[in-house]
Amino acid sequence: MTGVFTINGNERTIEFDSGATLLEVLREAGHVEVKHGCGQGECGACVVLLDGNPVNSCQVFAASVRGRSITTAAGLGSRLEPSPIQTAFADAGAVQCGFCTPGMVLSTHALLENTPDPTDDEITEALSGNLCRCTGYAKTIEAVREAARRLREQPSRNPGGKR
Amino acid sequence: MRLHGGGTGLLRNRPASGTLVDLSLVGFSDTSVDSDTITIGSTATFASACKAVAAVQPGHIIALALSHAATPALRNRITIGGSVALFPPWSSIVGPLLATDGRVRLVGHDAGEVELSEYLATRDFRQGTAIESITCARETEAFAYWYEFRRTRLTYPLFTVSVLTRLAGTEITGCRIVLTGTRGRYARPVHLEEEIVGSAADAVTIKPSQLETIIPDRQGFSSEYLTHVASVEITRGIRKAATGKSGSGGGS
Repeated sequence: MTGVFTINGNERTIEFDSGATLLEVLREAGHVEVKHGCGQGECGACVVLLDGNPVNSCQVFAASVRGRSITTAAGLGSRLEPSPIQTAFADAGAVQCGFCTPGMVLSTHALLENTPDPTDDEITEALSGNLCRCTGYAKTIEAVREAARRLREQPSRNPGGKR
Repeated sequence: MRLHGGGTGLLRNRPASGTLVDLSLVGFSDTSVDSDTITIGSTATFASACKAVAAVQPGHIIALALSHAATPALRNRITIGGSVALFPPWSSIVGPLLATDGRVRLVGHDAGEVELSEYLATRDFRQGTAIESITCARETEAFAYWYEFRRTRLTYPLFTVSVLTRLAGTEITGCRIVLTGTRGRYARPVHLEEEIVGSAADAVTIKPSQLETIIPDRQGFSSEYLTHVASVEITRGIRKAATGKSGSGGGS
């Protein structure tokens, strides 16, 4: 079947198997920043934003989200122009192997869109579906605190758009 | 025709049939709250239902339970109908719905409205019948307490506790207790509910033997331990009502 998706702001028409998950479709389409972890919705490596809300893309039939807007970690920033969240993760040392980082960054983005100054409990809850097997979580929480501070100090924000 | 649920369960047990029809756009996704009743469409996600209920009654047991369920990303996909139809042992919604007189509106072969307990006990309702919506009571006069026991924050709950307590002063005038994850999937200790009416909420102590059920051995925890924890959490829930607050707890 064929579906039109808006991926990171770009409209794309993609052919895929009707039983394919969004994770499978995105990776087949070259979005390998969306990681295939457990495939059961438990690790959070495959998290993307669906119309701004985090979802486990391995738990979404691609056919059911045709026409919707999808944001991957590459939609937040690039290697040359990273978002404040991405730089905060790097600066805080919250990245080791990096496999969980795209999902972590997107969950952080979703949190800070609605909660610009989160408590540690709110950060922990927001990232509760993102597992890391390398660093533990202390530096991750530190990174989210730092990202929140940087975003609050930005002179202007562009809600819903690229940060 | 076989109807499968729901937002995430469908992918865990991919059906073998050749054609799948997506029901997510048929209009069963709204949540409405009136003076006495909450109605949640079957394809409403945990996140959307939680937001709608919490906006009107933040202390409602549905809002307490759904705000802790699974993870934020999964709450955006798990549907109420799927969770009720599949009723996994870790379900966060079935206990609160049973505690608030949940009823299930069905469409298809067995169209009509049945009590949630009847729906859960009748496997025939899974063949050719779909859930349209689920209703439950507002219970605006009751203090709610909800608890889930997880081995770690990252694992599924082994059991859940839902407690609704009505008071006159600190005296208990009514109580509703539901445990899920017990032998037989869920239990409502009616004798215990009746026994504690008239007691002072801040002096109640529930013993494991009063629960009329046991929670089986799971993940290295003995049945005795889990059942003891359940009795402690029920005690805590009733005593919390005496403070004039609803609330929730969780973790191992």
